[in-house]
Amino acid sequence: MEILTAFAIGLTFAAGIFQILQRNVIRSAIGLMLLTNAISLYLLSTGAWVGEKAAYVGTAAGHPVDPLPQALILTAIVISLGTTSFALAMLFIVSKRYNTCDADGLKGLSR
Amino acid sequence: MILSAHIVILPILIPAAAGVAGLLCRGLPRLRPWIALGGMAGSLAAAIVLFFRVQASDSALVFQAGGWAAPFGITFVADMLSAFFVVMSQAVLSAGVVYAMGSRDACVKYPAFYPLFLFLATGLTGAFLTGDVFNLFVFIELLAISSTVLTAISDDRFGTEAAYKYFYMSQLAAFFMLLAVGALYVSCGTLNMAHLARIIPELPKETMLPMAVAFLTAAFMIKSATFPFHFWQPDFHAAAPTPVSAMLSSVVVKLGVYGFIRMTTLVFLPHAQTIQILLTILGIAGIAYGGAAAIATHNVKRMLAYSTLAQVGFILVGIGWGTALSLTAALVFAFNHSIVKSAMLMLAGFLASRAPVKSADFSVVTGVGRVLPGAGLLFFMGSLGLAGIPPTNGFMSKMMVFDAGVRSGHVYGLALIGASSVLTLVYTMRAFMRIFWETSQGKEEVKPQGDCLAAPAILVVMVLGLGIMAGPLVDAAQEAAVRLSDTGAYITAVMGGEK
Amino acid sequence: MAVIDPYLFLPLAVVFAGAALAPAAKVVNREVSSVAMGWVLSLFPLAAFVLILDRLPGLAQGMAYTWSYPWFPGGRFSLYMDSLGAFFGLLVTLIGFLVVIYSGYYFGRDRGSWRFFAYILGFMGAMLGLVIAGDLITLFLFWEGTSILSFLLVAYHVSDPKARQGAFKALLITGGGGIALLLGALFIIHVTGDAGFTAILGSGDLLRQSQWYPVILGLVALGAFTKSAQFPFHIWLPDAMTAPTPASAYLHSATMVKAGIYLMARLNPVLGLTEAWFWLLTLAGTATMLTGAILALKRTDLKAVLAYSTICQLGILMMMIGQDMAISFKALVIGILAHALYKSALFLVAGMVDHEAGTRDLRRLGGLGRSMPLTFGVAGVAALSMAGLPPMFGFLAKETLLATAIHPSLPVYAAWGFTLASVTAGALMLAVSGRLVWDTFMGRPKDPGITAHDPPLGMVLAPALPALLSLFLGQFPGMKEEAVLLAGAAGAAFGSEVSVSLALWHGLNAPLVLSMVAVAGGVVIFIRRCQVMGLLDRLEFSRALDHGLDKGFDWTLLAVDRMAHRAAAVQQGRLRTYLIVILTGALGLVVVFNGFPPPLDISGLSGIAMTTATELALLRLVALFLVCGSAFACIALPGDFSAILAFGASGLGVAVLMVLEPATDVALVQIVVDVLLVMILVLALTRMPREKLAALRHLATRTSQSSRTRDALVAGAFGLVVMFMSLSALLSRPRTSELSPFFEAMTKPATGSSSIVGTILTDFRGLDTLFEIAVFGIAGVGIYTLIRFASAKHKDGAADTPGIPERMPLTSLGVGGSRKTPLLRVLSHIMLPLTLVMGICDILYGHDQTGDGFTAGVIISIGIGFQYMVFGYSETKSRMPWLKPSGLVGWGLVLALASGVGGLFVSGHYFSHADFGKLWGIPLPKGVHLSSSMLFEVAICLSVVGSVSLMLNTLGRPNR
Repeated sequence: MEILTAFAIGLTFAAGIFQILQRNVIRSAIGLMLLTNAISLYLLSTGAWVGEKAAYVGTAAGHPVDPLPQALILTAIVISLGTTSFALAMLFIVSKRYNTCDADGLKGLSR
Repeated sequence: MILSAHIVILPILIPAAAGVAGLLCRGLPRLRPWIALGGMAGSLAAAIVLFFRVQASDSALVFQAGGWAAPFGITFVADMLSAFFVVMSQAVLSAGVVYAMGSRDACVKYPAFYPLFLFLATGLTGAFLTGDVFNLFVFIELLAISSTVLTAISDDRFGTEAAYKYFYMSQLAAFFMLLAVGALYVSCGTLNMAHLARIIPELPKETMLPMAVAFLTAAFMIKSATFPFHFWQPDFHAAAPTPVSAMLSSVVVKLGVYGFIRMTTLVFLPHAQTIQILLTILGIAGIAYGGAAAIATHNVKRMLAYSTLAQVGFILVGIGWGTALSLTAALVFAFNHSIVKSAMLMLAGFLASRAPVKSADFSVVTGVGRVLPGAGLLFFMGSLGLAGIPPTNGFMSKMMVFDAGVRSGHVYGLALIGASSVLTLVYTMRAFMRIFWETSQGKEEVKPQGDCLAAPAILVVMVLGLGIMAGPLVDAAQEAAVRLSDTGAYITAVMGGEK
Repeated sequence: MAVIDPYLFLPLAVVFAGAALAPAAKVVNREVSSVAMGWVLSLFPLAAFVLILDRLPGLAQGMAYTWSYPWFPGGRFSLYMDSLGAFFGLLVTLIGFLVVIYSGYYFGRDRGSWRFFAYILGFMGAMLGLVIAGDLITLFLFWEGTSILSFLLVAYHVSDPKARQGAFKALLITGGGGIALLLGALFIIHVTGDAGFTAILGSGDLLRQSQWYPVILGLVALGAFTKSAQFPFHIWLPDAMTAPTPASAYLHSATMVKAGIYLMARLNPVLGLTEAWFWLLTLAGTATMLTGAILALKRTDLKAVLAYSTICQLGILMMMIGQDMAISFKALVIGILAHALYKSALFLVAGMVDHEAGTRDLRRLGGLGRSMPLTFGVAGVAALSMAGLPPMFGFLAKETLLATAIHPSLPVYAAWGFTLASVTAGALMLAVSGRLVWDTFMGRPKDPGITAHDPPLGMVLAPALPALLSLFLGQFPGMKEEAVLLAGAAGAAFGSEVSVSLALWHGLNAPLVLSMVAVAGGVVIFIRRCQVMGLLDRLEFSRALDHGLDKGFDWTLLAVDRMAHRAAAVQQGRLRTYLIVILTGALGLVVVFNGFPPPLDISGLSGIAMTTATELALLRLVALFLVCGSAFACIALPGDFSAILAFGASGLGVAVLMVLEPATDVALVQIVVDVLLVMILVLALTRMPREKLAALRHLATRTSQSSRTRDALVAGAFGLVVMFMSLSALLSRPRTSELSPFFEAMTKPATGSSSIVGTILTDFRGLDTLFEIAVFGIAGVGIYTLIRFASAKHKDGAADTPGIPERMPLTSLGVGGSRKTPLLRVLSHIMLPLTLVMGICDILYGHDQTGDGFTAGVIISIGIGFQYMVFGYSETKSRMPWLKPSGLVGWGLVLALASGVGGLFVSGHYFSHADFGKLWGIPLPKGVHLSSSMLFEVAICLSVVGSVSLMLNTLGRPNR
């Protein structure tokens, strides 16, 4: 099971990297979001122990899961949501300004 | 008591509060710059007070957010190093606000400009002051997003493209940092830097710690535009609005520098040597590359951005040599470079604003300076500062780096950086001659009005002042560097208890 | 011995004061004439001259004056004047005095001449400081000062490209030497442990024996050779002749080029007297001497001839320093004095000729002697001295020089070689000086168009004085002070006693014979000069000497530029390449720190496989497959829209995995974020240029196979790294966490809430959340500013895109049907209130159950977004006038910052938890806490609503 989970995380991450390297700008934006998903899963897997119940005090028996990674994930997700949506806005402006959706077409700046 | 603890976060909270205030006073556009100026000035004052309090205290001032003792809450730590960097950044950022107030760009009139500028200040200061790895990530993101927005809304057509490209690379840096954070939590079970510093030396070999070090190094290399990770930097720094690019290329790049110093002197002592070797090699590569590219580029702001690449290389080499002396040199270099580079970029912006077409391209600004003797004087002094010629502060920093190298006998390193630093002379003087001496081909008139020269004038005066009276700065850097060697004091100040 | 002289800085201060006065005078009175300015300003160097003279008696008793002032930690600004320094100082100020007077006449009506005066006096100060500097760092300070000011002086006529090039060349060569010198100085300081000359001069053996001696020697010599125009660095000097003649006379004959000589003479006692030193200096000197002599004969431009004869002289001096005999240092000081006198005189004469006749070309000049008798006289005297004929002082100089040419302790061939070289050089110099006088003043006028007459007396005075001096010093050689001063200087340079007598006649001895040979040779060359010059032109060697090195320099500069263009070309603008490089670099770092392959213990792997028979495990399996499948689909699916949906699916899969963890709070946020992102993506997609998007279909196929395999490799490698990391994280459970147990223990008692994660977010790590929200808010405001202001300014078609026509909802985007169905209307009517209620409950109870301010915010703004979708932009605006997004963001952040203040008053810590409900005993339903955390949640909710609705409505309808 662990090996499968790890594989899923790795695959998602690889897919994300592959996507951001594509010429289609929409694809590369999707790539960033896939990477965010992969990172969230990765952080989730850094919990210090296997929990038996959600991280609440005294509702049920059993040891709650490690809450810290969850807190980190929440912060990370929100941040990347914000930044990614701004990136999409930029993407939209740039593709208008250069009238292309080809990542290799955005070459106003060089040398 | 309350103040003495909270002074640590005042330099973070004041700009944040001012930024929010700027967001709210949409109705009164005239008020916004003054709020910003007030915020930065207040933050600078707080930073200076903080610095002297830290100097007075024997180790470091600590603020446990929410009163949760370290390592459970978020800790803000101001040791000499942090205080040094905070004073530097707030000083330059204040000058940046002054320049923005006198700037004729359209973007400084946007309602969001000053708030974003202040959030940039917040992020930078917070990153310097926080003692928690994940919190560091948050502040770096704050810094990244505000600088991205500021560049994206630049008057320069290419601003958005530059910001877009930068975003991807800084996002990679963010992912790297998160991977590192996870790895640190897995291998050490904590995120507090001091706590990490206490745990890491006792760790067994086979853990994920090396992964954390690797990815953190990668993240900081992207942030400090270390040589092969630098691609975003020339575009981003050149295309940003002048008041912003003057900040990005001077103080914001120092974030990565700060990170490296923390890594090699506090958190990752076992891996410090590897990091230092990497920094030395890449730093020298950066000096050569940046200098060369600065010669070949076609735009004054770009030239200065490339030159930042080279100058940061000097700093990294200073960190890489890793002696107290070379660290002092690196700190002095960092401070002086911030001053001179921001001044130069502001002057470039000034020239662009007076040029027939608003642009810093050499094709446009050639000969523009012939009727601007004042700017010429400032630019010449600044160039001397960049080239490290006495009596400017640039000479101080260059000499100290050389001296550190000499005293630890790095002959080949010295030969390389000595040869490369001739390049600085080439591009600065060529630029000066083209702008202020050559006669322009086109017959267009130089614009009668442009940006205000006050801010760069102040900074150039500092360039000379810090060269002629270098004592206080060098002393401060020395003390900071010496205190870095006593990690025990830092850890105890944060965690309490025995060393 | 050294005595502290509190006024030693005065000469320096005086000269710099003069430099400062020049512009000031211009400010006070714009009409002030150059001549007056020259006379007034000349008083400053004169004063300095007197101040130095005043110290001669002390120096005569072998005293040395010192003065110092702390500059930076471990560094002083210090002065040190012994006979050597005073000797140079006197030359600098005396000739400076004359040059300043002369410049006044030279510039005549030129209104801008104040700039020249400021530069030249500034240079004078730097030069004076250089020769009386008390430590290596101060010396370097002034050293660079002279380079910079000579740069400004050479390029004085800034509009002339040749002037600029000459200045740049000079600066580049001397500046590069400067860096070498700095390094050398630092090495010396490192070895001796002190920068002061008083200390350094005492530690010669230490230096000579140290392992760094070769390095130091090389670096210092490089600095001195570049500055003193030694072969092959001499090439900058002729090009620097574009400077105004007074500057050339001063910098490039009398002073600046002597800086290197001074430095070597100064350091000779500690670095010299070794084999390496001897050969290095002697060979360089000889080469320079011959180069200068030969090329001087070839030139036809008056100033160029003088420049090359200067180079020749500098070579001779450098050679002298190389020797280890007392007599050669006698020759050194006498040579310096003689050369300074006659060469400056000749330069100034050249200036006058140029000024009067309007040309410096020897092929056009001639026969000026009749029209310019005074000038002729001066030139004649100076030239005789240069030729080294009795009774001039130059004769003595040549005598002493030739006397050193017979070196006792050398292999015979070398000894004769040097002798021969010296004699040849002497002969050539004689020929050159003959040529100077003859072709300028005697013979027939070659160009009838040239009419010249003597310049005003004041102008003539400047060259006349040194010329007369060189005559007069030769005539009355019994003068004590000079002799003593020269002896002292020579002694300081040699390191021990040197006796100097200025008697011309030493009886018939080897030097005299040699000099007769030289004279005879010189006369022959002079008479046959046409043939000789023709020969030289034909000689391949001399042509190479003439142009080869300049070509070399240009070629080097060109090579640097090429390399620079290569470097800049790395920045080729393609983002994908940048990312590839960075990713590869990161992989490299991973390998560096972990080794390859990284160690992984799979011990935990066994045994876990069994515990997967529960239905939960099956569900998890499904979710995992969902994640993997959608990630794969994201790449494989051709259409962008389907790729977006695939991404959404993967997000949901992630959410399910989180639920199974179980991590309900995270799962909730993950879901809402997933929905929101898909919405925004779709919005963005519809904004793209349609036809371009269509073209994009084929992009994937158009990317070359190789680049795609490269991408796949990098991606795969990273996938493996991350997989490895998560696997080793999963397998090493359970681990000790320093933090989490504390959180579990403290949540209830500290904050009364039971949601640990929520408490971490709002209390334990509240500041993370605070600035996270700031980031989110900025993103919203940023999108708004970018699209409403920036892109509107750039008119790049973004602001006025026909994205979606007014009143036409997003239904055209495949979100709903083609027009608003009643169902949609009803939904929208229920949706907003519903989401509001949900959000409020979420906040109220979120502290005990799943959910928090952020979720609340997103839920509410999804409701609002739905309104936008259904009713379009403006109708929504009219329906919800209360919606002021950026205001919401601002107030939310204010509240967030403020919510921490409560804690400040309750417990004295900013952002500590404060339960006001408990504090003020407000009766509240169970599970609701009126606490700082609650305020914080509200704040978060507000700014999130603001930010998200900013995003949706700007992206949803970008045009005003």
